[in-house]
Amino acid sequence: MSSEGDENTVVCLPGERLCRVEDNVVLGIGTYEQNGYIYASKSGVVNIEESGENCQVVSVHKPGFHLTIPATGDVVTARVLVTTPKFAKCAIFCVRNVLLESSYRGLLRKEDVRETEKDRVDIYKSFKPGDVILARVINQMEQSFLITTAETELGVVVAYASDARKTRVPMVPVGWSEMQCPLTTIKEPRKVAKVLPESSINIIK
Amino acid sequence: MLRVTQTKNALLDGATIAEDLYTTPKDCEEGFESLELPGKNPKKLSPLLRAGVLTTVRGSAYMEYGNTKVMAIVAPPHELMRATARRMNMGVINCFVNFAAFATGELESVPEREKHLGSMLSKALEPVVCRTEFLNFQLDIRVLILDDDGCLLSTAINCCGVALVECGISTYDLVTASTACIYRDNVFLNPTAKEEELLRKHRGGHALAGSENSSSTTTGAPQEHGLITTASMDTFDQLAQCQQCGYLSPGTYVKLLDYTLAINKSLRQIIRRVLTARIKEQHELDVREKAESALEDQRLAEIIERLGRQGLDEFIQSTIKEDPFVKR
Amino acid sequence: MAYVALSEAEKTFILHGVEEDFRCDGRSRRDYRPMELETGLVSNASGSARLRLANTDILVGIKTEIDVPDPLTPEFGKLEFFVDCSANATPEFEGRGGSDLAQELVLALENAYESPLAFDYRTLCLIPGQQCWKLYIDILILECGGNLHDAVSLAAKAALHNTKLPRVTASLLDAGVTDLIISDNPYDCTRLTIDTVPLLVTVCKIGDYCLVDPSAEEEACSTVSIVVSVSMRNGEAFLSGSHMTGGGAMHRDTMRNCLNLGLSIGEQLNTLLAKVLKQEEERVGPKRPKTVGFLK
Repeated sequence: MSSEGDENTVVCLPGERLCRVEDNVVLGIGTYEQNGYIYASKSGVVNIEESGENCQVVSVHKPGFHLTIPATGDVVTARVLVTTPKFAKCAIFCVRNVLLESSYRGLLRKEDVRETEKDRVDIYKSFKPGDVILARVINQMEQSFLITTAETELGVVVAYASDARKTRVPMVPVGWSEMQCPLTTIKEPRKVAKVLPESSINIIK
Repeated sequence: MLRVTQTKNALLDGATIAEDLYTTPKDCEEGFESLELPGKNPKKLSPLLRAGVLTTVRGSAYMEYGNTKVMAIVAPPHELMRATARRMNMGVINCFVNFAAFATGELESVPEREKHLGSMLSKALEPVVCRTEFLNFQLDIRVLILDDDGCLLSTAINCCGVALVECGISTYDLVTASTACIYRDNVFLNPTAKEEELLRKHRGGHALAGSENSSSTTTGAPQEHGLITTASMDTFDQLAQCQQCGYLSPGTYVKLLDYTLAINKSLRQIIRRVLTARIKEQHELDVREKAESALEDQRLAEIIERLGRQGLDEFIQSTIKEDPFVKR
Repeated sequence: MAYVALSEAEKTFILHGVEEDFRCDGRSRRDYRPMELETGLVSNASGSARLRLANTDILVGIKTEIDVPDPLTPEFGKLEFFVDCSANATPEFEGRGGSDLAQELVLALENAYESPLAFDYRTLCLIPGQQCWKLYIDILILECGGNLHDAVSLAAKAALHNTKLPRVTASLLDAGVTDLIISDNPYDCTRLTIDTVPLLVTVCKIGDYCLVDPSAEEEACSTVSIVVSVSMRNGEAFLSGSHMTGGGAMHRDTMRNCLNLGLSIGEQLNTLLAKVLKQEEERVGPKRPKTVGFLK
């Protein structure tokens, strides 16, 4: 069955029976149910966590590389590629805190940019190609993921001024709908995310 | 093997010089005599299997069985390319098989064999992978054959199974595969290229000649010949794929099937050993990395605390206009 | 295969029907749908056949050519299969959509016909090592209503039976090259013996039971099916090729059951086809019906 490693880590391979299905046992990732038993579907270390009242989640975590696909509800980091009046196409390159090897396609619709007055959004005043945004996945369509920035913590994180210059310095947010370039002091409209910018962390170091 | 090519000498005005024309009966016999018939002590070939051989691709595996060398690469799923495949309610698996230029002697049949192997491989791997976990995505599996010495399909299936597990794609079970063939009442397990050639090239030609040379009055049973490749998942005794070619009676078919299932069981032990060792290795690396990132997290937490104490938060909040489009 | 949209309730209905041995159209698990077969429709081909298996419509045409045999098998002729999924069958087959399915059918047929015990290639030999017949079997799928493998192999076998190879005589010139004289007389021909030619039988597993001849809806419900190629020799059934399709796995015992079912059905199909073809042959002279073709 499963072999014991050191420090009580239980290693398992796909197809190994882990435990019986009971009322308070829930399937986590890397497992599937068959004939009233729980089997592993990935190779890795078995984790049994307590979640909620008397609820145990059985999951198998693969050490090292994690195969991550953006799931509904995850916060992802994406780069805006194309903007049109109706939507913005993005390339998702980071899911939660895991960097992906190949980017997935994301679609940000006009109605999902902010919470109120959704139909009066102007995409060109919210994003420009090249911006790095934080967004949340709402759905998976046939060829891309539908993402939304309709929360205060979501939106543009890193953006550069539109004028072509040799030295590119990231703009600083001056409000939740504007960003200012530190060199030219030009302000540009963006849908800014309410996060602590990295520049302020570096100053205090 | 003797290969006869008819050479055309352009100087002789369109006439052809033909060499030995009749080659089948002699060729078959010579080839057959030169084979080592499986005797009382069949030599056990233990396969060499290694997971995670490449650094650029996450899921990779390399397998050697006898002289056959196969490498498999699995990349994480990406969006569907083809519009027509989108109506499936499960993920799509595509297998691409490539022969290296030096892998095999007969190069004319390579594109056809690549296509055949690719489609058989996808059929074998579809029941293994949990396709419900990547709807609307496609999984690309690439197989590179470095040396062809028989039982390519089964070696490729074994290799891909390990590469899938290595990549972290959910599978229902470990898959193992092997080949058995029968020629002139001799059973060869995991045949080499020479043995397979007898079956494919000469198409068991001797099967017909043999039955004629023997007494024509008795209607003897035809000389059965055939090759069967089975891929199985042993936890629930499921067969992922069972491919047969040749001409077999049902009894022989079941006999060969049972042989391959027995070999699959022993192969499974080898694969389990390799994968378990790999997990332990990765686990140790992971533990070390986690310790390092814990230190990093601690450092960041200290910085944030200091910022909080200095009241930078309030400074940012006071000088900036509120976002009018956020719900209260 | 053609995409059929089924709801969960429909799938459950089909499943229950299969369990009770009474399928949606009233058949038992071992019954085939009604078939219509006609040979000799296409005048330009050496042999042709059209098979209509309920909704599935297949047209096969065979053309013959003289070719040089493979040096490793100098006494054998050649067969080449080509399947064309016409865009008439389903909108999915438009452009290159049907190429995967066509490829799969070609591979299954080639596998089944590979063994010389299944199809006697020596009958296609003219001069060993120098000339042989090459048959191009072209299969056109006009309508796709489930169970393509069976229909295609039945139509191919009927077309092979219908094939007329013109009689060839040879005369020897100097320098050892033989000159072939092909008879112009359309009635001076040889036929092929198709007793051992294999038939593909698809055995489909729905729920816990195996059935043959699945319709398009039943195919959408099944997880796994096995295609068996059955060839009759001296009254016994042999397997000349098999593979599993469908994307599921099956237990070893289920596989044995499916094999046995496939073999017995294959045997019945072979005898039935031979009988029907013979009946069609015997209707000569004034009793010969007019070619129906696609009028009905």
